[in-house]
Order: sequence, then C-alpha cells, then structure tokens
Amino acid sequence: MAERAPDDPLNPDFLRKLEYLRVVARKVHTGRFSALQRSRKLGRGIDFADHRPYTPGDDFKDIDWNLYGRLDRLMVRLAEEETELNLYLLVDCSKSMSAHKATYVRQVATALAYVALAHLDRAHVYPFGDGLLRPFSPNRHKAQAVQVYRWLQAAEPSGATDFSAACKAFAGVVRGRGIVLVLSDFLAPGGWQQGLDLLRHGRFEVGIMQVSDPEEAEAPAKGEVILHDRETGATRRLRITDGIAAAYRKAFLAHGQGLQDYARSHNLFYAHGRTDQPFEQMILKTMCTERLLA
Amino acid sequence: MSWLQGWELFGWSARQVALAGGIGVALLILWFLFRPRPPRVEVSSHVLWDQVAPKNRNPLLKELLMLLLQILMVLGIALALGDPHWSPPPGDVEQEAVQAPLDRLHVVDLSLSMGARSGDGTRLDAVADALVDDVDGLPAEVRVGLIGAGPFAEILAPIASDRSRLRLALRTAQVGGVGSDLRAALALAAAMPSLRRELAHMEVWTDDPDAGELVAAWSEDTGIPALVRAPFAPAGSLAITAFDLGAARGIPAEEEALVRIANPTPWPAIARLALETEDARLGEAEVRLAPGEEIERRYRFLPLPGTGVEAVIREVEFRVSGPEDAELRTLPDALAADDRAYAWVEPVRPVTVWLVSDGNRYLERVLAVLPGVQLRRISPAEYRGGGGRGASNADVVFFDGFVPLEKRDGPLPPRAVLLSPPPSRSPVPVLGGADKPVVTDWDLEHPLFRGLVLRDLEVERSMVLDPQEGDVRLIGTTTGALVVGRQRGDRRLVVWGFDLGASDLPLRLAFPQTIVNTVLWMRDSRPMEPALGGRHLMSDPYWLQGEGGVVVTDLRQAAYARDSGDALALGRASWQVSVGDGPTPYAFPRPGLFAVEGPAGRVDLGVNLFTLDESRLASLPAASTERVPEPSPQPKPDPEGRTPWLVLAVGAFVLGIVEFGMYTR
Repeated sequence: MAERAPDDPLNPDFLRKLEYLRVVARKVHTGRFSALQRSRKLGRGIDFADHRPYTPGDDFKDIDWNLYGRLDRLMVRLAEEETELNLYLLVDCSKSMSAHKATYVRQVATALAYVALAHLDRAHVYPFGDGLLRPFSPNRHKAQAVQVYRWLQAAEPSGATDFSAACKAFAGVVRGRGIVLVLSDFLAPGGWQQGLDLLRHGRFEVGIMQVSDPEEAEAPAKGEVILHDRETGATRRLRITDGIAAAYRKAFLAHGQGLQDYARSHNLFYAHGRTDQPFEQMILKTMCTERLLA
Repeated sequence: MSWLQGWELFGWSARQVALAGGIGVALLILWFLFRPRPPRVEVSSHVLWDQVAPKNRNPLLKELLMLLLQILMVLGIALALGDPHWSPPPGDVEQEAVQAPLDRLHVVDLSLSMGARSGDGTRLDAVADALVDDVDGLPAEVRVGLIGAGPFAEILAPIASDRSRLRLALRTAQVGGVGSDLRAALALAAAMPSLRRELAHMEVWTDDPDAGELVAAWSEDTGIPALVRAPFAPAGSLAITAFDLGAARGIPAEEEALVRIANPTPWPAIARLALETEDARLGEAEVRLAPGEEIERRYRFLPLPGTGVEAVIREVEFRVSGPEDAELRTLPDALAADDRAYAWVEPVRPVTVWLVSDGNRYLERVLAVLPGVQLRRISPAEYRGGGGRGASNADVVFFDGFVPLEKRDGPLPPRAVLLSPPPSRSPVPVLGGADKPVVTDWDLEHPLFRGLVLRDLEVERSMVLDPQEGDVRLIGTTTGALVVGRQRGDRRLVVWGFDLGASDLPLRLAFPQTIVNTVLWMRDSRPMEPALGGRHLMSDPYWLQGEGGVVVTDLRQAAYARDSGDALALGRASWQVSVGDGPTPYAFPRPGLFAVEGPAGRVDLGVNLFTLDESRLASLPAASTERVPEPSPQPKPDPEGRTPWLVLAVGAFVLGIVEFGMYTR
C-alpha cells in the first residue's frame, strides 16, 4: 500500500482520528437498520423509554419482574431503538468549482463519509451541476470511504450550477430523511435560497458548507480585464477600479454573510471552508465546533 | 479647405491647426485599432461581478462613442493651443462684404405710368419716399447712384457717398414718354466705370409687370444681385386708344369724331366720355366697359374754326369686388395721361359753288343757306363773256338752261350739273320730250338720292335722255331717263332733263338734301387735302426742322413764371429746343396740344398716347421680398472678454470628463 500524503483523507493517521468522531444530528431521524443513532422507534435498546402490558408472544426476557412484584401485573419494558443515520452529501461538481475547491470538497466529503460509515450510518453522495448527477450510496462499511473518494474524483465538472433544479430533483428521489450537507461555492446564477428552502421543506436537516478560493475574496486584478466565466464560458470586459474592487469585496462578504444569516435564522449548520486552509481543520475543528461532528 | 485660406489663428495658421488636429485624430484612431488588449482572467462566476458592475449592452458602441469624444477633445485642445481670434485677413473682408453691398444702384422707372396716383401722390412720389428712407438708413460708407429709365436711360445721380444729389434728382424727376427702357438702363448701370461690381447691388423701382424676368436675367448675366421694388398698390385706368376726326365730314360741313376707349383692368368700369374744345363741349355720354373691353363712340358736330379738340374721360369708377360680392368698392382712374386725346382741327375750307343762271330762286336760296358754301352767281352772258374762267376750279358748277360751248367758252368744268340743258348741247343724247312723264324708277343707292323719297314726283314737261354706257340712270320714265349721272375718272356730271320750276321737286323736303348730296358728290371727287392738323404719337420721335432752334408751346398747359419780385405771370408753357443741321428727333413730354414754331413756320398738332402700355396699372411686377443685408461692423477680438481659446479649452475639458466618466463606468 502506497504512502499517502498528509492531506489525503485516506491517510491512516487521519482516519484514525476520524474514528473517534461521529455525525451528530440535531433532530431525531429514524433509519431502517439498527445502528448507533437514536430514533423514534421503541423496542430493544439500552435507554429505557416506557412500559406496556404483556401480550402473549412477547419475549419473557422483556418482562419487568420487579414491576410485577410491586403491581402484580405483567408489564413489558420498552427501550429507544438505535438506528442508522442517513448522511446525504450534495457535492457541487459544476465548472465554477476550481480544482482547489473541488479537491477540498472531495476531501471533506470523503472524511465525512468515513465518519458516518465508521459508525454504521449511511453516507450518500449526490453530485450536482446543472442538475442532479448520478448518486453513489456505499455499503455500511468504513472501507467504502475509498469508493466515495474515487467516485467524486471521477465526477466530471458539468455545466452551470442550477442549484434549485438539483435540490428539487433530490427531494423528489430521496425517501429517507437525514442530514443533507451541501458542499458548494453557492455561486449559482439562479441563487441558492430557493434550493435550500426546498431541502428544508423536505424535512431534511440541512447543512451548508461554503467553499471558496482565497483569491475569490478579492478582485483578480486592477485595470481593464476580460473576465471569463468558467462556468458559463461568457466573457465581459471590465475596468476594475478601486471602487469596483471594493464593491466586489463587499459583495463577496455579503454573499457568505447571506448564507450564514440564512443558516442562523433556520438553525442550520454553516461552515466556510477556504482552500488555502487544511481540510483537517474543517473536519476536526470547525465541524466539531459547529456540532456537526462530535 | 479654400474657405480656411488666409485665416489666421494667433500663433498658428488654419493649415497648421488642421494639420495638428489631423495628426492627433490619426494617432487616436491608430491607438484605438492597435491598443493593447486587456488580460483575460478566469473567475468562477460572473454572479458577483454582475452585482458590482451591471452589464453594458453594447460595449462596442460605447467604445466608439468614447473614441469620438477623444477626437473632439484633441481637436478642442489643438484649437485652444492656437489661441484663435476671428480676424479674417484683408482679402476676406471684401469677400465678407459681398453679402453687405457697399454700392447700391437704383433704377427708377420714369414712364408715364409712374405718374399714376398712389396714395397722396404719384407712384413716382411713393418710390422717392421709399428710396430716400432706404438711403437715409444706410451707413456712410455705402455709395448710392440713381438711373432714370424713361424712353431713354440717363444717369440722374452718379455713384457717390454724397446723398444730396440723389435726393435732389429724386425730387425733381418727372415722368414722361411712353415706355421705360429698363434694358438700356440696366446696361448703363453695368457699364458705369465707378461701379464696384463685386460690392454692388441693384434695385429697380418700376411698375412694369415684366420687369422681374428682365432684372433676373440681367442679374444672372452680370452677377450683380438685383431686386425689383414696387411700393404701390395696383390701380385702374381707362385709356383712349384712338381719336379720329373727319370720318364723316360733309355739307353742311359736319365733322365726325371717333373715340375708342379701352379698359385694360380686370374690373368693370363706368365713365363719362366728353368731346370738347377749350371753349365748348361738343358732346358727352356715359360709357360702360367690361373688363378688357374696347368700345367706340362717334360724335358729330358742326365744323370748327382752327382749334384743338379733346376727347376726355371723366368720373371713372371701377367696380372692384372684394372677397365676397357684398364688399363692392369703387376705384377712381389713377392715370390722367391716358384719359385725354387731342386733335387739332384745321379751319374748314369753304366749298365753292358756281351758279350760271339767269335766275333760279330755288337753287339760290338752297345754296345760300348752306354753311361753308361760297356761292358765285353768274349769268350765261357773263360766262360767255369770259366770266367762266376759273369755273374749272370750283367744287361744283350749276348750269341752269345753259351749256357752254367748248370752242367759245372753254371745256365743260369737270364737276358740273346741267339743269334742263338745250337738247342740242346736252352731253347726254336726248330722245325727245315727254309731258307729265311718270317716274317709274330712281336709283336710291346713288349718293344723290340716298335716303330720299321721289316716288310721286310730278314733272310738267321733261326731256327724255338716253344714258350712254357708263352713265347712271338716276330717275327714269317709261321711255328713258329724266336724270342721268356720269362719272369719268375724276370728272362728274349730272344732267337733269327738266326745269326745276316745271316740277314740284323744289317744294319737297327732299330738295335741299338733293342739292347737298349733289354738291358733296361733286366735291368728293377732288383730291382732298388733309383737313386735320398734324397728329403725332408719343411713342414715335418727332423730327424737328430748322437750324438754330424751335420753340415748343403747350397750348393747354399754363405756366407760372416768376417775373420779378413776387409777381407771377401766367402764360403758355413753352420751351426752346435746339435743332441741329438735319432733322432732329424730339420726344414730347406728355400728351397734349402743342405748337412747334421754327424758321419753317408753325405747326399745331395733337400729341397722343394711343397705347395701353402705360395704362396697365392693375398688374405689378412681383416685387422681391428679401431685403438687402445691411453692412455690419467687422467683428473684432475682444481682448478683455472671453476669448475663443478659453471656450475651446473648457469644451475639451468637459469632453474629457464625460469620456472619463464613460470609461470608468
């Protein structure tokens, strides 16, 4: 097995750190299979939930004999059943995602998938561009994180971002509720709010992770330039003055602030990742601070 | 660029400024074409940039507009650097002055029509007032001149800055003559040596309806701008176009006057036409003329001693319709010169009648009462005794019962009437005699009996005549003729076959008329001398004879002459005309009765217009409406005020700001 770079999400040292983390849901979601996450189901489990009268067919082991001694009634003890958690990773694969941003997103997504899979949760990867692309749902085994990484690595950037269409398609095909973490730069011509609203109204627990290159925070140059839109291929000629540069800086900050305000107002997870910072910091620090991981 | 030649902007000539501007513009265009392209920068999306800088829909148009602004800015800077002042060089001052002429030449029509009434004066007065006003308003450097255009063109005031001569010429100018030779006047103007053609301007003051085309053609040929001025209103005038006397002269010496009147206006007219002498009115009648109509009127009157006769139109009213028929108004006759026609009547030459008779009281009484007849009575014996000499010069000779013998008494006078001649001497063969012959026929077409009734003429006894070939049977009976007329060349003969006393003819009303007709028929066979005095048309030159001088006297116009002190004397207006060796042409100044006295004697004559050329007052030339530009003082640079360079610099600065604003948007 080849030696992996330190920033490789499949680096064994890093994976070892990830095994101490788990995905934390702010809501209670009910999965199909038993796992380690709380659910609304009552059944066998560790945490007591309630009693119910015994009915023929119940396992004798579930009868609370102490209660029978006090009440002279056969009662069956119920516990909260622990099920799996669905973690949906909506990964932006449009052309607006530069190589740095794509790598960053890929690394974060792989790490999160590994955390989920390591705790018997489900991880689903849904790439999107001008629509929803082919998804990938690995088996519940942490070794499948490698497949997630490869899947995202193989995903070709496609077209302009149509975030609303992608979210609408996602909400239409996905049945199981869970956490939806959108990893994108959110530079969609049609805006991002409508897509996030669709996800929220679909009773998903939505998380926002904004990714940006550090050079995106500033105007690329001063003077007359031809701006080439990587996503649409359009060009426009512009003389960038100090005023315009300042206005752009202000617009960029307002763009992130808008996402942050939206997340705060709806009690959503929000994180802003810069590609010049190590992604481990995002996983091990930011996400833990923001209580996506614990 | 010829319009820039000679113009100088302080420091730089116009050519230099144009060169600098052209180079600047060329550099700008080259820069525009080969300017460095901006770097191409990839961004993730235009989303944020669209929020910062809205898209420009047509960037190329913006660039071209900016280029245009840059070019204008460069031109403004280049011109401003030249510190320009509008100070054309001396050569261009004259070119500028073409629009403000410094020589103004006026041609004034002096034909008779300019004497038509217009307002309180005449058309010529109106022209003089308008022209003096124009001249008084001109700057002192403008020179003016005046040319009169009557039958002959003459310089009334040469071109000069002094206006007094022009004013004097205008105030003393008089109309006269038929027609205005505008062509000659214009040619005279163009040939004036002191005229500066490139600075000249011509104004023609006339009422000739055709002047517009003539002046326009002249202006095109000479290159001198010319205007037509007609500062008066259309007017009406009736005109006498013919006045003829003597058309029906006869015994009793009755004159006939034919007057022809024309109405050249577009309005119907009513007037009174009178025929009068200086002392008496011979006839008067009302005449009505439709627009464009020409009518004739005839007047008969008794013969006059040598005097002038005038046909006069008075109380003329033109019925002019307004925009609606209800607005009918009348106009008077504006031109007096064509309202009178003149003729000089010579004294009527008396008719000499001889009566060779032993006594015929009928004939004697009739001939004695006829005016203008000089009757000489002579007996046949006296005629035979030599008293008949000179009978051939008489207008008519009556032989009563007597026929002269040719061998003894000489030939029969050429105009003779034989009353009951002896049958043997009758020039018309006699067939015999007849008692109480019945008149069966008479020639009422012959001048002797025209208009008379002789149907029941009773004759006691008469000879029956046999008319020869060429003879006219005037009164006939069943067997022959009672009266025969004969005409051979200018010889005329009437033979009566009966004695007047043997018929009832002398008792009839037709008798005097028969005698009058006989005298007239006889007299008219003589070659007539012109009975009228000389008549002359104004449009023709009158040739004066007599070396040294001729005095022309207007027999109808009185003249006031200052004799001495404050005394005024009234007399005929007369003037002296110099005459050369040969016949000298002379133009009468107006229609009228004139006497021309020279070494060859005196000639009285009536001078008339007899043309409608001066009477067409209703149509005027299309007067030019534009005004001659007044010379304006030459613009001078204002040393203290804003100079053009400052304006140009500010303009360039503003253009630069606008361009910069577009560039940074």
